[in-house]
Amino acid sequence: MKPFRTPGARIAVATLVAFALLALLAPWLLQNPNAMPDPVGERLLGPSLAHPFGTDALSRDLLARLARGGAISLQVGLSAALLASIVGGSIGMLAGSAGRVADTLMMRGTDAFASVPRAFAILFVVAAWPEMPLWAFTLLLGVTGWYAVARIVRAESLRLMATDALTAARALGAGRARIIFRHLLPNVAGQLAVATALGVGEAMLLEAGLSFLGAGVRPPTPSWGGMIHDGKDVLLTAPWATLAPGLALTAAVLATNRIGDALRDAFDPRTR
Amino acid sequence: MTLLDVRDLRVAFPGTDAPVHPVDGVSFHIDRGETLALVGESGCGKSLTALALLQLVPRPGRIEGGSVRLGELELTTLRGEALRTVRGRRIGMVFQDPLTSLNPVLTVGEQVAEGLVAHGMATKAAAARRAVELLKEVGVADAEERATAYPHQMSGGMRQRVGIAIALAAEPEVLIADEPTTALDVTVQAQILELIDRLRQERGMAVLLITHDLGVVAGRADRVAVMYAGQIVEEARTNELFAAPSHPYTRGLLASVPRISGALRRLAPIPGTVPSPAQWPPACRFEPRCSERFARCAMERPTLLAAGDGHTSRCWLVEGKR
Repeated sequence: MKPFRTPGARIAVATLVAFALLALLAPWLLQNPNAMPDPVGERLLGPSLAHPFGTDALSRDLLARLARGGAISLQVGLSAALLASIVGGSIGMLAGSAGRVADTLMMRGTDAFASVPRAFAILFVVAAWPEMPLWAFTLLLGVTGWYAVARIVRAESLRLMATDALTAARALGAGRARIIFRHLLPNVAGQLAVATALGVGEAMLLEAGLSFLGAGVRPPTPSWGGMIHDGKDVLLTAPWATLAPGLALTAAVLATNRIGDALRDAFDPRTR
Repeated sequence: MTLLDVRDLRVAFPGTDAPVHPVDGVSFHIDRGETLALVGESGCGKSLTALALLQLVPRPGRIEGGSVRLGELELTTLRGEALRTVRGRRIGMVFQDPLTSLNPVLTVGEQVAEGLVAHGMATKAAAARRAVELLKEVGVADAEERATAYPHQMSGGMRQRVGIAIALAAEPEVLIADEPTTALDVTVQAQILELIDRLRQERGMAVLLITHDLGVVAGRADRVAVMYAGQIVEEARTNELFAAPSHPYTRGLLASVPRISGALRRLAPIPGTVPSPAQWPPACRFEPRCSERFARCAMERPTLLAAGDGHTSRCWLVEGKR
């Protein structure tokens, strides 16, 4: 695709591929992210050949934890964003192709859900279910992230429903399912892709924030947010313990946003 | 034998004060194998009439009254699945602009096949083969190859042929062609109209040809209904309409079309435009633009009056009471 020829988009793709490769190859290249070979002697070591990003307060290798944490972050972010897009896309297309009453009901329902701040909703559930496994946390991120997608897709569906092409499809005798899958979905796919890409970054940031607060990924499982939390206590003596996951998070989120922008350009007829 | 019978069709849209009726009591009928032309200026309600036949009036408009009968079937009250089996299957529709009425992300072959699949008339593979045949039938060269093309890769004329193939796929009894040639250049216009006429003869379809161009009507329609401001103002056999137009609006339309034969004369446009539905005059709706108006026209609403054999006109002049 043409937009991916711009340097920014290429760097963004390369960044995410690098994180993914690092995570995939970590078992062979790096030590176990939870290993503490010498819990006392190797505490808070600065970057060296043996530990390129140094070690944390429990003598664990930061690069190994960064790789593993990144894999989890990307997985959570991607799964949550995909889930949000599927839910939001379905509701958006249903509302946009339904009659006025059903549309109003669905969108006011969406407004009601959206009026609950996402982070608070998640913190609330975590408080009620402290031993929440990772898949449930991912699910929670997904089902609290679809409102914007639903609104975008519904607006686009409404626009499409008013076009000659959709009138023609209805004149042809196309039923509801055919309208949605054959006529709406291919035409909103672009916006859906953009929303998903941006949603990945958003979900990763939220995951990091909640993990920082101790409500996301559980220790000792590494996560970038958790690593920043651990590092903040030794910010002055071992800044690398905070800096490494912080920069990784920034780079990954910037990359997903840049990919979202590139997708937007790809689907924008004015730049095509 | 009457196939499609429209009686007193009214379409309402919410207005600022009261609802407006851009289609206000339209009646006509079409026989099997016959072409009826519905002629009128932009904004007279002719396209909306066509959409109303299939309950496709855009929101927030709705059909307020009247009946549309296809054979024994009343269409205005059909819902759900029953309505779906009429759309495309019994009544096919060709739209004005083939670029906007085709789905840009599907190949033309897929779109021609879609009607067959949607009505359960063929499997996907069989429908794809039939689509190629249909494309050949409407005169698309290299149909096998063109079936895999996307709408934007085709010329306007070819796209409209695709539009016709889509409408014909399920072999409907009635074809509604809503300004099928308006977006095309003149040479292609004639080809498309001839194609529709040939298919009508071959299949015995009834055709509702909607146009603003009386030139399109001549020689192709059996009867013409002239529409103005949401009403049919004159209806006659095509020859009679051209030879002896009765309504001043029809005369105005004819005078504004250039002719090749006969004495050289200036084209006489009708002054003004169709008023919007909220501002229709209470009595005769053409009265403010009419060059032959007299006192009664502004006071009493004319009905469709007999002006000859199968010839009706919504004008007091027919009664000769000047």
